[in-house]
Amino acid sequence: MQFGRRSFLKMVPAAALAATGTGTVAGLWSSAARAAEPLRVGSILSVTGPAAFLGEDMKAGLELAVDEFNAAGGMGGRKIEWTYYDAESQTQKGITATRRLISQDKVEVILSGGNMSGIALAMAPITNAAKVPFISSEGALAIVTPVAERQYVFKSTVDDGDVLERIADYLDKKKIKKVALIADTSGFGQGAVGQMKIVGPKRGLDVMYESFAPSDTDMMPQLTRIRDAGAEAIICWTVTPAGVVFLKQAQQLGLDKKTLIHSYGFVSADYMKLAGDAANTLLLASLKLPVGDQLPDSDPLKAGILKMMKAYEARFKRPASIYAAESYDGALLAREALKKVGGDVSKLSQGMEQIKDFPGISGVFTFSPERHSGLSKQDIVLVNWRDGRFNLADYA
Amino acid sequence: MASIEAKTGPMTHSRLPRRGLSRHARLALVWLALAAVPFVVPNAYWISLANLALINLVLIASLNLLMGYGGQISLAHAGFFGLGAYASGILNVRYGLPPWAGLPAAAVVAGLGALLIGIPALRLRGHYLAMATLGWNAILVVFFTQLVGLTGGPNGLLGVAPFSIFGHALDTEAKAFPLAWAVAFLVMLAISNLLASRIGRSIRAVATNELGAQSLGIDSFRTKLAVFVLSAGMAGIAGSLYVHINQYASPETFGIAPSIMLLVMVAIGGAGTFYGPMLGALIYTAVPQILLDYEDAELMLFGLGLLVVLILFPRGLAGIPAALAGLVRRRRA
Repeated sequence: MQFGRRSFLKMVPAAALAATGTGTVAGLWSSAARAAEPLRVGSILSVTGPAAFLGEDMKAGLELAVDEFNAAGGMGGRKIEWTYYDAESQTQKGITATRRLISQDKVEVILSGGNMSGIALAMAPITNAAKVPFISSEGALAIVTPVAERQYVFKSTVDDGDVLERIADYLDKKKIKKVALIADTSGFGQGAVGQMKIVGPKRGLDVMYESFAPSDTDMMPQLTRIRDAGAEAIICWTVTPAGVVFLKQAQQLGLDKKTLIHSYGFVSADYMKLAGDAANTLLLASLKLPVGDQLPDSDPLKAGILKMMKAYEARFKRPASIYAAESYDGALLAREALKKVGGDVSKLSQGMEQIKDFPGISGVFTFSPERHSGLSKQDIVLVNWRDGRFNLADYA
Repeated sequence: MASIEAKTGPMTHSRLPRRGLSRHARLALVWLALAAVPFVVPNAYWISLANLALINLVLIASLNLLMGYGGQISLAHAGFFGLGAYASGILNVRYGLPPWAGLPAAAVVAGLGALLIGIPALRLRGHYLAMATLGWNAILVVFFTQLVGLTGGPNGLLGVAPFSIFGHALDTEAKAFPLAWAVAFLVMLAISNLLASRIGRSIRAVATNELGAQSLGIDSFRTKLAVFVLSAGMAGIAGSLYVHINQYASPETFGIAPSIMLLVMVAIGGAGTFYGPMLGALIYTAVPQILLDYEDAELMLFGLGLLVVLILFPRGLAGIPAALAGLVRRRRA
C-alpha cells in the first residue's frame, strides 16, 4: 500500500474543507430562520464551574419566561428566539461568548451576564459599545455606573447599599449600634464591605470588619475577635457553604444570643438544613419571593410571585429561588420596556428608563435616565427559618 | 530534543530550513498569510477569536521555548501572563501611563516575577519544579484577588484603555488585529533567532543532558534561569495585549487551571517544534467555541479529545505526519 506523506497531506485540506462545510451549512440554516424575523435574545450563564448553582436557576428562570412569553405572542409582537452560552464561571469565556452573541448571532437584547458580577462587569462595556441593550441579573452596582458610559445597560437585582440600608433600619428599631460585618473575599462579599463603609457612618453604626475565604472551614479567630469586641449584631455576607460554618461556630461561642443576619446570598433551604438548630435565631435579609404566600394581600408583588412560583415548580419540580426570579425579571423588564416604545427594539433603552413602579417578581422596579438599577430597600424583608421553611419576620 | 529530531528520520530533515526557504522567509510567509484573516472571516466575532488565538500563540510559544526546548516544566505560565496583564493595566488605570509604556513594563514585571521564583525553584527538577511553580501561581492569584486597591480584587480591573496610535484608539477587534499580529510575529521571530543562537544551542544541550552540558562548560543553572525569565517576559507581553484589547482583567483568567491547559496545549501542538504552538493556539482558541453548541457535553468532549491526542500522538499534532510515516515504514518492513 502506498500511503506516504503526500497522500496524507492531501487529506488535510479535505478535512479542513469538510469542517468549514458544516460551518457554512449551520450559517445558512440560521439565516433562513431569521427570515421569519423572531426577536433574537441572547444570554450568558455559568451552568458549570463554581457559580453553577446560581446558573442553573437563572437558566430555568429564563426558560420559563421565554416559553411563557412565546405562548402569549412573544415580546414586542415578535416570537423570541433564545440563544444561550455557558461561560463556565470564566470571564474570558464570557467575553468571547458575548462577542459571538453580538457579531455572529446578532442578538437584539442580552439578558443575564454569566451569573457572576465579574463576568457582567466585563460584558457591560462591550454590549454598550455595540449598542445592544443588556439587562444584567448580576449584583455589582458598577455594572450600570456611571450611567453616561452604560446607556444600554440595566440590572434587575437589588443593590448591596439598599440591602444594608434596610438592615440598618431594622437595627435602628432594635436600638443596636455596635455591628460586625464578616464577609467572604469574593466580589460579592467585598462589594458589601465597600458599601457598608458608606452606609455605616451615615446611619451612625459602629462597624467592625472581618473576612474569610470562600473555602474556609474555620472562622473561630474572627468570631472570637467579634465576641470580644462586644458586637450586638453580626452580619455575614457570602453565598458559599462557609456561611454554615459561621452559624455553627457562632452558636458554639454563644453568639447566637446576639442578632445574627445573613444576606440575600444565603437564602437557601439547603444551607438552612445543613446549619440545623444553629439557624434557629438567624435572620436573613431577603427578597420577598421565599415568603410570597405570607405577604399581606396589599403587597403589589404577591400575586405575581405566587403565579411564577407555581409555574416554576410545576415545570422544574423544585421551588423557585430568588436567582431564578432575578433572570425572570430581566425578561419581564425587557417585555415591559418594548411595550413602552411600541415594540421598537432600537429604543428599548428609552423604554427601560420609562419603567416606573412596575411590579416584577424580585420587587417593584423604577428606572430613570439617571438610575439603571431598578429596585430599592422597600423590596427587602427580613425572614427567619422555622418549621422547614422561610417565614416573614420583619416586613417594613 | 536534539535526539528526537534525529530519530524522526528523513521526513523531518527534508523540512528543515537548510533546504528551500530560510527560516526567516518561512516565518514571514506564514505571517503574510495570517494578515488576510480579517478580510476572509465573516464578522467581528471571528476577528476577536483571531486576536485571542494570537495572544494564546505568544503564551504557548513562550511556554514551548521553556518546556519543549528547555526541558523545564512550569505551571506558573498563566500567573506570569497575569503579572503582565495587571502590571500594564494598573500602570494605565491607576497611574495614567499609556499602554505603550505598559507593554515593555509588563515584560519586565513578569520577568522579575520569574527571576524571583526561578532562583530557588530551578534548583529543583521534574515534579518538584512543577509543584514549586504551581505554588507560585497560586500565590500570584492571591495577590491579584486580595490587593483590591490596585487590582480591583475579584470583580476585576475596570476601565483599562485600549492601545492607540497617534490619538486613534485601537478599540475594535479589527483595529486591534494588526497589533496582535505584529507582536506575535516579533515574539516568534525572537524565539526563532534565539534557538539558532549559541544560547539556543545551550538551552537544548542542557535539556538533553544537563551533566553533559555542564562538562562542556555550559552554566546549566544560568541557562535554565535565562530561558525561564525570557519565557515569562513573553507571557507578560501577552498579558499586556490581553488587558488592553479586552480592556478588562480578572483573577480567575490567570489561575492554575489555565496554566495546566497551556501546558497541555504545548504538548498537543507538539513540544519542541517551532510551529507546533500555532496548532496548540488554534485548538485552545477554537475548540471551546465549537463545543459551545454542545452545552453540557463540552468539557467531556474536550477532555476526551485531549486524551485521544496524547495517547495516540504523544509528540502532539505537529508530530502526526512523522508518526504516520513511522507507522507506514514499520508496516513495510
